[in-house]
Amino acid sequence: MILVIGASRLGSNLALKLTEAGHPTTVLEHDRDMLLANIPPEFKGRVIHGLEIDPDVLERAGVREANTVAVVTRDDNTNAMCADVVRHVFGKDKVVVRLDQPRLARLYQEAGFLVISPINEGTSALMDAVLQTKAN
Amino acid sequence: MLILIAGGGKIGVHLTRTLLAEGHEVSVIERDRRVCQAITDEFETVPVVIGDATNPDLLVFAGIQSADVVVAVAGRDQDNYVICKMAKSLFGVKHTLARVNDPRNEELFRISGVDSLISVTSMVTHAIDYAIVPHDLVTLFTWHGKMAVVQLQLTEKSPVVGTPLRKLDFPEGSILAVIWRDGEPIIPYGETTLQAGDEVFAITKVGREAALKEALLG
Repeated sequence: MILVIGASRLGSNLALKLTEAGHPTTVLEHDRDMLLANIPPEFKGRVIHGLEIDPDVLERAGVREANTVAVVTRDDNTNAMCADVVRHVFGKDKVVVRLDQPRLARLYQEAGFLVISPINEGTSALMDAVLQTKAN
Repeated sequence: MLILIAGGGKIGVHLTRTLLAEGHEVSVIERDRRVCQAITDEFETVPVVIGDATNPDLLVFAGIQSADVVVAVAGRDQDNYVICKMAKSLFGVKHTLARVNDPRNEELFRISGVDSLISVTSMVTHAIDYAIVPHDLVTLFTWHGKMAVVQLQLTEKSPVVGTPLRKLDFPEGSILAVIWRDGEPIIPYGETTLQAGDEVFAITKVGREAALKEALLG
């Protein structure tokens, strides 16, 4: 099972793609509006509503059974703390964490997390595209 | 000593006042513009940075590189967690202190090297618990999970009542700090005699509370 923490457009898209690819997936999100807006009724995975950094909620979301955990809420600080809870409280070593603050991202990379920075990576791609367009 | 207060709203204002009165230098980083204004109005010399205390650039601007202590007192646990983590790992701050709302998060804060924790929820819970339920021994405060300040109320049945302290065998690992009697604190010495009704405050190693309770209350 793959646990996706955060149902932002990024998180929910990831969860949808994972289920489409045949992976059992659980989504955890504290914001009901976000769940309603981003998780379509045909979603085949499990949906858990609760605070992302709460160890009891994580337990309920099945963190212990998860093969991989993707921590991808829109909030860096929630992601940072949540990733540490998943690692230190539940002993999980396969954790992907979204962090956009560059220095925080580097800190977590150095600590052995797989870090993705969608805003930075998106900006770089846009930058390249814009400069290429300008050059042509 | 330079103390950087990160977040905290109204707590920040009171803390600034207290620390300045004790002769410390204070610098503040706070998201709420009105709180910043209140601090600036009252203390013209205190540098105040308006913004997110988990933004490393703003922390530098607020003087974190020369801070001796960083106090993380924002509203959310995850914000205080990241403030302390950055203070330690990015800026090598010697002493970090965090407010923790959910007591279940305390262990993680400790693992991550936060030096001192202020658990408002635990303190309030203890206080309410004590006010509602009669207790023989109440833990008022713990330090790094190893040392505690405890309070006990003596009755006529307490074996120590009526004997001067110098003649008492105090259990290893705790020391009697203050006696509260008739609304006044008494600092005890060898000739002091405990009375029924005394509230006794003791400092003890965690794990030695039962021995202390046995000695004082029987």
